[in-house]
Amino acid sequence: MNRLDSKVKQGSSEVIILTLLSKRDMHGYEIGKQIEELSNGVLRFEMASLYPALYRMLQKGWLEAHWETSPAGRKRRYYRLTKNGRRQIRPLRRSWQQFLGALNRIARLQNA
Amino acid sequence: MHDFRKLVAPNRKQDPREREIVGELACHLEEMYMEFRRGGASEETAFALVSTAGKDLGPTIRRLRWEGEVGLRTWLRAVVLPGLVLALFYGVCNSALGVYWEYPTLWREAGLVLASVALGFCASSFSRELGGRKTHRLWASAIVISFQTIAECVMIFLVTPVELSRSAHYFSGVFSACLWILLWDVVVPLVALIIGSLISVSAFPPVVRAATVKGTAA
Repeated sequence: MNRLDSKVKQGSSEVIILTLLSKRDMHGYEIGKQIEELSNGVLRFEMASLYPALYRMLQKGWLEAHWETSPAGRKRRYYRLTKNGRRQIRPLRRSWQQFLGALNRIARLQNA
Repeated sequence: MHDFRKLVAPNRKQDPREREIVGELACHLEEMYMEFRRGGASEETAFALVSTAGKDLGPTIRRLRWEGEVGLRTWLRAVVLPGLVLALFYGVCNSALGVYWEYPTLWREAGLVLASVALGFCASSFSRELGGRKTHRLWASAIVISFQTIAECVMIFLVTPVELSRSAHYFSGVFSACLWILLWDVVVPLVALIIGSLISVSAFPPVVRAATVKGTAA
């Protein structure tokens, strides 16, 4: 159960981050903020969970990072999806749909 | 403007890689601070809130550093270091058992097996704390017995043949004794260490933190 739990946690953060970055490049804080806003405050990524996930995905070659200076003169590290990362979105989404579908079916059975 | 770098990593000597990580986390806190200010919080309140969020980032910085490391450095950190530290403890346990039971007995071997299981567990858990994955953790436990293995191999494959060349008529007895020693002093403790490591691996899976769902871990 623990092994499944950790895989589920890791997989959930990966699919969320990849989906967000498929729209545009973002820096870490922006990614965390977007997740919180789009989930209506249900999901929150703390720094201790967000950055390890981003660095893990950088290591896998799914993302690349670059520093940019804003017009206000602030330096931020932006993350961009690589081709390899873009290829991961569909299979990850599919496996998540299967997983959530299974959960739904079980929950309905139990409520019946 | 506040120095958010100091908030992220006070009193830390930083190499270029760590400077980049600290810089990025400092940017995160700066954005957070500016949002609090935009929301109408006073400078002190905003900084206090950000300070709370930026507290205890040391373990996160370490994890981010390790995330980028590959190959030899990872092995040195997550395999060799915990393995050699626990090897010292193994030496102490082995010597203590040898002092109490001067000659090999079943109790002495049983004590060594129990100590090996415990040390394998500790080496694996230590490796996990240093960012080791399952393979690293198993190897860290195996390395605990490295000194003992080297010593036994030197005795059996170097010293004993030299001694045998002087008195060849003891050959058959010495050969079986060597196998017996190898079995009890290396193979059995090694198996016990791996069992200890596997217990640790199943009890403490890899560290993965994810989003929180309304205050509880997802």
